[in-house]
Amino acid sequence: MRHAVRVESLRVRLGGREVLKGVNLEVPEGSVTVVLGPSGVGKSTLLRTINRLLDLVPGARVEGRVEVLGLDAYAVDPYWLRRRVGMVFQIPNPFPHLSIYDNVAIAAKVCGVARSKRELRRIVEWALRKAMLWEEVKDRLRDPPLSLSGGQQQRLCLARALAMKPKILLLDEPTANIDVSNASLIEEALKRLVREEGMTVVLVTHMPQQALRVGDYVAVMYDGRIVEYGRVTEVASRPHHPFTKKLFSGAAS
Amino acid sequence: MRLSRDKVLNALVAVLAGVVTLGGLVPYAAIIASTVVRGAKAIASVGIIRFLTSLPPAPGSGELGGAGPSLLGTVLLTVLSTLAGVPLAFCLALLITEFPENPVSRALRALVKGLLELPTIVAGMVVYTLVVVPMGTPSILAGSLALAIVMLPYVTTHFETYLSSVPRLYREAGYAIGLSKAGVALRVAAPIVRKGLLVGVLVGVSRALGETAPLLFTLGSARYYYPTSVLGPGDSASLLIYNFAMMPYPNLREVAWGAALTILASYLIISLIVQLCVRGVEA
Ligand SMILES: Nc1ncnc2c1ncn2[C@@H]1O[C@H](COP(=O)(O)OP(=O)(O)OP(=O)(O)O)[C@@H](O)[C@H]1O
Ligand SMILES: [Mg+2]
Repeated sequence: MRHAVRVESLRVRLGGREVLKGVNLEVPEGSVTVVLGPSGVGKSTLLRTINRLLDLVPGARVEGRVEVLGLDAYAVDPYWLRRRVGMVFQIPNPFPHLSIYDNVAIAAKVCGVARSKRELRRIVEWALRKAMLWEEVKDRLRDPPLSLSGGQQQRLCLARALAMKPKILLLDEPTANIDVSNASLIEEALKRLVREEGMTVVLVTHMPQQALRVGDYVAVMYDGRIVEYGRVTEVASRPHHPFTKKLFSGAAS
Repeated sequence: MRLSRDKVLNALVAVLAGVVTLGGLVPYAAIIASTVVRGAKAIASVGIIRFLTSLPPAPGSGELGGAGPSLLGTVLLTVLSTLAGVPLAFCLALLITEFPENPVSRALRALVKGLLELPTIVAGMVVYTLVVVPMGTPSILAGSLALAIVMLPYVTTHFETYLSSVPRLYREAGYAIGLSKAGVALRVAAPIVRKGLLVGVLVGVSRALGETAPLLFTLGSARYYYPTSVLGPGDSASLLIYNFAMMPYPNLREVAWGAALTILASYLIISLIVQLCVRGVEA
């Protein structure tokens, strides 16, 4: 099996504190890998090493190896890397100064995936459809994004990431701040992206139910380490680590 | 019982604060009132257009006149110094906010803070030595440079405040779609706070409108003829006031009041725009 992302003995220090203490993870291509864990164990930090957003944190020290699409992530140009990896954040953050349309278009433009205005329009529509937002915004593409509900804003952020036509999509608790119906729209969108577009999804969450709903594989994080890894169904039915046991016993009930 | 005591205390504090505020405002009200009354009289007695365009009267002639060359000078100085100062301030603010850890930008930040404290006449001295002496003449260009130096730290500080107020989550969104540092600064951070940046520009314009000291040895005093080139001497409304207000000739003092009202009116317009912008920034 090919791996879209491989992380090897990854150690990360933030402000002198060791946050990741030797993480190993392989993300199979064309599937959803869920990173599950309680608050503060370093899930976001792990995600941010994959597209090197961690470079922006002053004083962050990264040791170990991160491979993205077969390339050493820390040897390539970080800007080039980020254009190939889409990311959705915990708090919806559409650009407030751009219209709904331009929020999606800017990503396509930056990544140079559209060669003409027509192609750009096509990509924007495609991205909005894939993010399950098109029908709601197609008549108001020029409106500011802050006129949308929080859940719609988050789907707009998903569309923005998709407009880069990335092979890999990173999502950092994308449904933590939105309502259930918007959350299930996003979950549905992710499943389709993997099935129909062959994308690779890494989804960070602290909700085991979400892992069961969308995950193919799950990596359970605890205290800066991945303590358990496997197919979601297997891990959920036969958890080993005490934390995983507690997690999924709650989810089952 | 207790409630009513609180009420009394509240009322007392409110009244006290009101009285103190009003008391503090009296001198300002007096300044504004006398500027408006005397300035309006000076301008009305020759007509607005004539006041804005004609030359000042000869001293002691008893005639009335305008402040045309000086007002034109103020316009030129403001435009030129803004054109020189604002882009530089923007670049400095970008450096300082986007590379906060870099030693160069740390040094620049310290320099900008230091320049804020600089007596403005020093800017005039520096430009006198570096520009006026080599050129052999004071000039509008030299005056504009001195004003640009004076406005630079203020505008930079404003720009810096607004740029660094852009929430990190928007910057991260920019980096996540592959924007470069410059891309994030110019396509995300700056447009998000564009109204704040406009306020910064207007702060610079206000400085340029009112400053006198930096122009004392850099601009010259060509207030009886229109400047033909920015490389030659000019005058400004502030310098005209400085000179005419102390003259023993009432007709020149009239012109000074008229110029003062013109500047005051410009300030009022700017501050209105700033108010509108600030409301936009907070919305
Ligand atoms: N810039 C920083 N400097 C120092 N410590 C940091 C920094 N950023 C994060 N940390 C610490 O690193 C640890 C891991 O943070 P991280 O955001 O990766 O956790 P997380 O698993 O995503 O948590 P959550 O579920 O709350 O989002 C936390 O304890 C946090 O306090
Ligand atoms: Mg997190």
